[in-house]
Amino acid sequence: MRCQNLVCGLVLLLALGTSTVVQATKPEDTAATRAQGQVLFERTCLFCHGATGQGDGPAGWFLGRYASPRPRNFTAGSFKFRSTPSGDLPTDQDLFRTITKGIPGYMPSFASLSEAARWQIVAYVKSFYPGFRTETPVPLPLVGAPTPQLAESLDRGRALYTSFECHTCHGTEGRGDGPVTQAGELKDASGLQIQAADLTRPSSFKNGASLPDLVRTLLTGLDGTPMPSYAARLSDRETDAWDLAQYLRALSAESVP
Amino acid sequence: MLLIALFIAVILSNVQESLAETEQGHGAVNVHVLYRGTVPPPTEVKVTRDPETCGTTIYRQSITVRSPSGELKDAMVMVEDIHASGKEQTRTQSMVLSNSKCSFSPHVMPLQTGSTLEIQNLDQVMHNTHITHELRTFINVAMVVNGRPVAKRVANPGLYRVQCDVHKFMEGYVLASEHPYFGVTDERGSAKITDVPAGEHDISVWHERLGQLQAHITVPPNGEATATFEFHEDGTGHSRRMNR
Ligand code: HEC
Ligand code: HEC
Repeated sequence: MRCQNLVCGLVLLLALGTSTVVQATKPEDTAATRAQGQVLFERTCLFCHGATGQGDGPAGWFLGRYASPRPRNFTAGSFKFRSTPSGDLPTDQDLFRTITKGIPGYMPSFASLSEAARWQIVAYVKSFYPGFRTETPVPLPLVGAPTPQLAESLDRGRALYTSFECHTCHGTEGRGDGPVTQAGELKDASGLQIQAADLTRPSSFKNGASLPDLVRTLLTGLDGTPMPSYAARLSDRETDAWDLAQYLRALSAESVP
Repeated sequence: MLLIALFIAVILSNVQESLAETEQGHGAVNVHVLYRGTVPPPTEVKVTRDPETCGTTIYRQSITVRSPSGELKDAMVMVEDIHASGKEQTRTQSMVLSNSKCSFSPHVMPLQTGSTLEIQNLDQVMHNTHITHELRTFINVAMVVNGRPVAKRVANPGLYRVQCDVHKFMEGYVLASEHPYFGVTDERGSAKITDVPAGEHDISVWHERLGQLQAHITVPPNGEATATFEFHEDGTGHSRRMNR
């Protein structure tokens, strides 16, 4: 394989980045694992997600009662933060990542729990939706590699932002004030009003703000919200997704890791 | 010994089953759906986006009837109590759902599970085709101008709701059936379901605004059963049936 050192290095990093968080201590998904997960869940998650996992815990009832988002209802089988195609279930790694990192503004990080404990919780969360027993979620490939933030890359990214009509929801400047958002027409899966994200504030991105995180968001969309998947649109040219992600990063002066 | 006996028993029962089936035969179901009452005037929706493609006002007519007979279009019809045996002719195929002139075409679409839904955009504006099944997202894809179609297999039976978040007035429905015995009424309010196993069946009719009606019919071998459904303005309805 011939490639420039910088690009290869980055791809390698990506691979490491995902595999180190994962595997290591993942227990088998057995009744015993789920039972351990249940104990942890009832201690740490029940408050928001409820004993039956329907997002109706004592706090959850207040949280997002009138405004999106409500704590996730795990029995619905719809998840926002996935590596899989629109409408598919998340992988175990996706759930593990969400629990580990938390959701900025809405859910604390549970990185303080041991990895084994987080995997046990993953097993229990999956038991709320029968589809997890019959479906095998497969991640979308992250095609290509990050483009260096060159002027051309940003120009291509800007052109894609326009031709993909991101501004309809996110606004021309990316402030989350597109005409459809301003008209109050965007609703989430529970019929609650939802805002398109303010793209100039990457620290508030729920699905992460690194380049690979952004590419993942663009490919998969956020199920249960109006944010659509652009996977079919971004498969024409390997660089497209990365150019667009670079442009999103450039929309803000905020520095993100 | 016991095993062999069992084996024979299984073969025998299979033979009997297939005999019974050929004896029973198949018939057709003619469905006629009517609406009795005044048709509500179309809702006027002011279009705030993409008027060059969508127009400035959309008149949303949720009940399409032919006057004066009251024949109701776009009612989906399904045999309720049959389970696919795997032996019948399937109707799994590629079904095209178009975003066209800021509406979904067809507006309602029955299909058999295992079929592929192929979504395309014929308009010069972006749509996002957002389909949900109960509480779960089936797909939410950005359909940019001149983009390629997006295809996805429909695995689970049930009613799917089709929406576009960018154009709130767009809506459509997909009904996925586990078996091939379904249809949708045309301008004359009729639908015909063929090759239905002879015998007694429940059939149901579903309309997005008027709800659901059910009837019990007997399909004669090599004959036809007719069921007429009537939806009423006050939300009630009834059905008549006839076998030939
Ligand atoms: C303070 C309340 C709170 C607590 C505690 C909490 N969550 Fe959440 N969780 C939320 C909210 C709110 C959302 C929805 C955020 C959104 O939709 O943007 C959510 C969403 C999720 C999701 C869905 C992610 C996706 O891809 O859609 C998972 C999985 C999840 N939580 C797991 C957990 C687990 C496991 C725990 C306990 C270890 C936990 N949560 C504790 C509030 C909470
Ligand atoms: C139909 C409206 C709509 C369109 C079109 C749309 N988005 Fe979004 N987007 C949303 C909504 C709504 C959210 C917020 C979801 C949430 O908070 O759960 C969002 C969230 C995001 C996020 C933040 C994800 C996170 O981690 O929190 C990014 C990044 C994003 N969109 C980028 C884009 C880009 C780039 C495009 C065009 C290629 C685009 N969006 C097109 C509605 C839209």
